[in-house]
Amino acid sequence: MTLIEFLSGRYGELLLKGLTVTLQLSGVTLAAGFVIGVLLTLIRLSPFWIVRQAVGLLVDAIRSVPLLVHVIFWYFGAPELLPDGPRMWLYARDVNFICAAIAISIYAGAFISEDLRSGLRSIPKGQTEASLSLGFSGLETFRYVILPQAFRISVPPLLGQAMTITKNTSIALMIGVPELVYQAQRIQDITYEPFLPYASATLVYLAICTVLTLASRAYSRTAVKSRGAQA
Amino acid sequence: MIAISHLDKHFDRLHVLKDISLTVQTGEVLVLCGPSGSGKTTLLRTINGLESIDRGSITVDGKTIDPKTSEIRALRQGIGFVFQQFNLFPHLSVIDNITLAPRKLKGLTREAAEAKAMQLLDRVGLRDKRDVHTDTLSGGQQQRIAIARALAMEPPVLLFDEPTSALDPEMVGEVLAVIRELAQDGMTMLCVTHEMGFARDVASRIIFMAEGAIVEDTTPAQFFTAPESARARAFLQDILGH
Ligand SMILES: Nc1ncnc2c1ncn2[C@@H]1O[C@H](COP(=O)(O)OP(=O)(O)O)[C@@H](O)[C@H]1O
Ligand SMILES: [Mg+2]
Repeated sequence: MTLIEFLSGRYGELLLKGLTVTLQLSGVTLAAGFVIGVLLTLIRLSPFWIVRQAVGLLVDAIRSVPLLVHVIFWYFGAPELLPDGPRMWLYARDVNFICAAIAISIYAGAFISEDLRSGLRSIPKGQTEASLSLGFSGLETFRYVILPQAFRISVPPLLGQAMTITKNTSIALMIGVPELVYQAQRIQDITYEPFLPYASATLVYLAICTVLTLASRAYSRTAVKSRGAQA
Repeated sequence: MIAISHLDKHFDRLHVLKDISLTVQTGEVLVLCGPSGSGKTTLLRTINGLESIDRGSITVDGKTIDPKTSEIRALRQGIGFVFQQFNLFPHLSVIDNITLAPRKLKGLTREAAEAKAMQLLDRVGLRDKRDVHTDTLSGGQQQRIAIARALAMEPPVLLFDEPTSALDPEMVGEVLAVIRELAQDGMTMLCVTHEMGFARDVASRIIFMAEGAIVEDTTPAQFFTAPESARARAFLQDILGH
């Protein structure tokens, strides 16, 4: 069987379903992870030492625990801690997908907040001082001067995170989310033939990562171009 | 215009400013000089509240400068500051660097702010750079834009902290020329600089600092021909290289 034959049949359909779930899970976790990352970063700018320290420790803890453990916790552990009402609500829905999404979003959020924070810290103090000296408040300085610069610096690492997240979503198969690798595994169980399903899944990941890498390169190039062009 | 009285400041153990008293009249141009580490930058930064003070008082136009109050923001709008390292905003074009503060703080429309900014670009001789990215500019050009940015808020006072010492020698002149013109227009200015030729021509007074204190407060003629203190004499010998 050639790859084309393989993909055009029933198995292609299964893989396509898997890809859809992978993309949904990646999209949701990337968006939620970004929001969580921004929130964590903002909290870490708090004037209170204890708050900064607590959130810093939390972020470090999240980052040091393997993603699989996060997924297992959110699937097997966390729902049990919920009161009956919300737990029923959760089990009436796609609980596997939801728990995987929560776990991956939090994990990604911790990494994204590190990227954003190092972006923020890389902006020289002179920028803040120049803004304050014009009469801007601390908040206005953050909004008009610091944040836009931090965001630009953070784009390439964030695209890197998008790549990591997309690959990480495959861990959701451990709790039965029918994403791409899950489907590849299922096909292998039917055909007893590992090469074609896994090769197809690999090609798909490769394609997604290539697109993200190219985007990152293109961004860096335009950023360099707008800076370069020495007068 | 500016009145500083019995100002003291420490950085932890270090007594950086010692009982500084100084008044600056409207239209005066003061040149601050002195050996490195004598507290010139710190003094300048206390005047717009970038540094707090331990004792004494600073008033600008009769209003007390205190970085802990919320009025400081309004007061800073009236005190332009030009940094040694320019500190232009790299994410904004030249014109946006100049118009950001007037638009956001004075509520000027983009058109009004840009019209004003073009006049300032004319004044610093960089009209054709309006839309370029700031880091494509030379150091001298960046510093001239930084001056235009400070002027855009129409401050009655301008503070310069060694505006030419980060520049290649061939660019010093173009920046000093801009400051010279401001002096001729009657702008009140305090300028930390080691450009002694400029100081001699432009300054109404020379303030010589050493070890956190004002050692001499005198006219350029007096300072360059017959400095009173031994420290000033040594400083001048060092800097003029003979
Ligand atoms: N933020 C700071 N914290 C601690 N010490 C400082 C700080 N800024 C300046 N100093 C010290 O204060 C002294 C005066 O510095 P500064 O005002 O920059 O002098 P100048 O501008 O005359 O060279 C120096 O000894 C310097 O090391
Ligand atoms: Mg200095």
